[in-house]
Amino acid sequence: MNCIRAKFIRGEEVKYISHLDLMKVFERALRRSGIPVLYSKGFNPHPQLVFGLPLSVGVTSEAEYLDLEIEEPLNPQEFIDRLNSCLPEGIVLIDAKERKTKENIMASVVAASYKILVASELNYQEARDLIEKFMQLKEIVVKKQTKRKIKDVDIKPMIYDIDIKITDTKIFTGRTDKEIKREEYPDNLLCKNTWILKYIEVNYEDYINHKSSKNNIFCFSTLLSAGSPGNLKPVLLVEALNEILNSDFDIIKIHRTGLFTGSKGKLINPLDE
Amino acid sequence: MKVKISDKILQSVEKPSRYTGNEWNSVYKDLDNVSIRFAFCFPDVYEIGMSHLGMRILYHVLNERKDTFCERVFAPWVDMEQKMRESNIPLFTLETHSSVNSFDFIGFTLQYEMSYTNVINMLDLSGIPVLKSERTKEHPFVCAGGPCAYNAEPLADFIDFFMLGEGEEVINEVMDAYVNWKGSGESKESFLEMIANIEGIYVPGFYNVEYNDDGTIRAISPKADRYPEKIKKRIIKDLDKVSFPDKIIVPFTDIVHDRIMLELFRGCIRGCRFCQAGYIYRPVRERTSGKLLELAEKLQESTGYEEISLVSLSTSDYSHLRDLCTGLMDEMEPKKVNLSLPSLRVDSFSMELMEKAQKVRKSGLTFAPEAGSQRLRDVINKGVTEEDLLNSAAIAFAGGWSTVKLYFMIGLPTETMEDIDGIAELSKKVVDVYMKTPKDKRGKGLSVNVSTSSFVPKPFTPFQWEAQDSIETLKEKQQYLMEKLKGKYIKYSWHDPYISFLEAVLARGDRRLGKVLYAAFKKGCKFDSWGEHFKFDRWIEAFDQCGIDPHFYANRKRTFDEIFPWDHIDVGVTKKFLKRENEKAYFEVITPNCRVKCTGCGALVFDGGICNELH
Repeated sequence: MNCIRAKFIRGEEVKYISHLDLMKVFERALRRSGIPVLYSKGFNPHPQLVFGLPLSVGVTSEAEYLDLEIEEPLNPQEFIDRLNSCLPEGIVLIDAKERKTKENIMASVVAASYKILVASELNYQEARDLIEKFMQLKEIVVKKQTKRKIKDVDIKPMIYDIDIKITDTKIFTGRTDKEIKREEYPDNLLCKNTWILKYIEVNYEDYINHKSSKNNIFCFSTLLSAGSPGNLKPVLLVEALNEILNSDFDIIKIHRTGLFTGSKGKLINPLDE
Repeated sequence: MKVKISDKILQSVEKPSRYTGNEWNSVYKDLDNVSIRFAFCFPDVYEIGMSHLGMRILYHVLNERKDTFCERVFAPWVDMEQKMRESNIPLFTLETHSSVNSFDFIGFTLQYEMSYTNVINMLDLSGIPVLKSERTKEHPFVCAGGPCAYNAEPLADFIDFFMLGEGEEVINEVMDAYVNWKGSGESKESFLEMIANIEGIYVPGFYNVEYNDDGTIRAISPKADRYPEKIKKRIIKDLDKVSFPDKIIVPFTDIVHDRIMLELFRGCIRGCRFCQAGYIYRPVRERTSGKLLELAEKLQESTGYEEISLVSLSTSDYSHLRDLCTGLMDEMEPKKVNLSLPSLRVDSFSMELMEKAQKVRKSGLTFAPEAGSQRLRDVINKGVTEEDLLNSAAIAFAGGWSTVKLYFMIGLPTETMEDIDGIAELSKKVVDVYMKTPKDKRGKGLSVNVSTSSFVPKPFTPFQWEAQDSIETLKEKQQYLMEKLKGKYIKYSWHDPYISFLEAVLARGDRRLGKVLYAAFKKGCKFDSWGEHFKFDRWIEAFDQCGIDPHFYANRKRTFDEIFPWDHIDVGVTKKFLKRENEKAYFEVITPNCRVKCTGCGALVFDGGICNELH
């Protein structure tokens, strides 16, 4: 297999490196691994690597993609093992296949899914009602910064799906002099994403500020338009929600769970193309 | 103690990856299996500190020891420092995010005087008393090395001991002594006693300084006979045999020198009279090209870097440059690894080399004539003529280069306005050379960037007795050049004379400046080498408050018999030789370089390198 599409994860350890720096990480790791990657022609040859959708600084991901070509065929598992042994902690290849499609990953991404962890004063039902109200709006016009100017954009068509989960079955509902009041919620409303649960476990103290009233942590699951059809960043979505419905969601963490090619009606896993 | 830095903080500061570590080849050890924890501190931001070769070498040397774990610490940028202070986060290491206050050693490298307030600020951030007199056995030992350690008297109140010269061997001797001491239960003082007689170790607390009524030094003497009267710097005799890292850390984020640094040799044969590095690193010792090729290959394999640069004080002077470069290019070209050359002495050979090495980048060729007239170049012993320079420029322009940088110094001893005129004239002649180059050969868009720094007299140079020009004079000269260098192709830039002034004060300072440093730190001075953070008025307030006249240090010409704050430090090069060189400067007499003739500087005592070849 000469044309490879690989899937990798970006963990907490490497979430602060920029997209440009990530490309350098792979270039150097490939050099260390000795995998004969194909270089661009010209004066300043670079390995020809194409990444899916750039990840914003601070965001983790369990579904990143990379296209590259190598000079001689290599079996996918060997490719994964050799490159993984040369990658810094936090970046791990988890799958690789021969790429059959001609279009590279960057050009073909159409959607991305995210988990957005937020803190709020609201209880679950209130937050859920807000989301439903939000989704019933005919249009959601926000100011979007482009290269040259700020323009109004309707992001409504870019939101494919949004759902809200709890991260603890006991939801804080207020405080009396003697005790903290909590309400019990059923288990099926609980966010089950392991990355999110692990993050909450490790960072619990940092985010539950008992002096503040934003004691409830929710997790939005979203599917948003991405890449060439129009790119909606999760931060912009939460900002729009807060601005239009006057909500108080503070983003704690964003985590990408998937990238998709195909079209809005028929999303495809990039490795199945 | 482990420190946790929340995402809230990291997301609110510039370049968070400065603080997260986890880079390829960084070293992690099981804390239960090490007995010495060493925090290697660079008193500037990550991108600067990580570009420093000395730190890479000593990180490797210390971590080669099974009993020692050396971790890196950089000065947090001001935004991060503010967050750390707000949240009571102490200074921490990159590797394990441990607070450095429980370490065995906190070691600083002193590369420039303007980093001194950062040293103090970092000690303060770590939560230990900044003054050594206030530290107890619970606190780490604080040590320092690097070029400024040769006269680190201004830091004597803050640092327990200094390591003078090249550190690879001496640092191991100190760690060995520490292992013995740690088990002994003896006092902190007794450890310093143990190491005071290791060659290259300077414990400032064991020396008395007395002053004359006019403020000059009367005597510097050991407090007891058992301490050496002179502290001799350390060198590595054979660079091929000393340990050099074959795995270096590959940062995630862009640093200033983001490539493999291959150190060809130490020392410099030239002897430019203003240049401290030209004297303190003597004698010249080279690595063989075979050893360098071997190192380059290992480093390339372990890092995956796409570029190798050759590092030394004057790369053109490396004896086997042709062999080395040919060898490197043969080895690296198939791997698509570039060879990046520093500013070479421009001749046809180096042009051919640059042509081959940097195929496309024809920008930025640097010339450093340092002075505008031949007379002044003779004074400073810069063995380059106008003809050399213009010939080189002609070769460069004919080779397609169109951007040149010209480096000069203003305020040099004996300088007159004629010499300043010379800077402008020489710059214009460079433009003329371009115009005479056939259009089809030269590159488009000529740009001659003239830059002047201000002369700072440094210890251990023939100009150590000289006065620095006053700030006003330097400004006048800069103003004069600004007028003279107006032109379509020439751009003029200059160094901040206020920073150069302070550098001159600290470079030849004595222990009395410790309280000024402390006062300046208290007033918020830090990152003084960063124009946007340099607060000259606070410094002046600090001097006033301490009753110290900075001009005494910067602008006073010394007599030959004055005792200097660094006279008890022995760098090999003798004061007698430096005096002779100073006199020759005034007679405008050139001194030949070490390869042409030995002029008896004193470095022969080290019995190494070029001195052995010649004798």
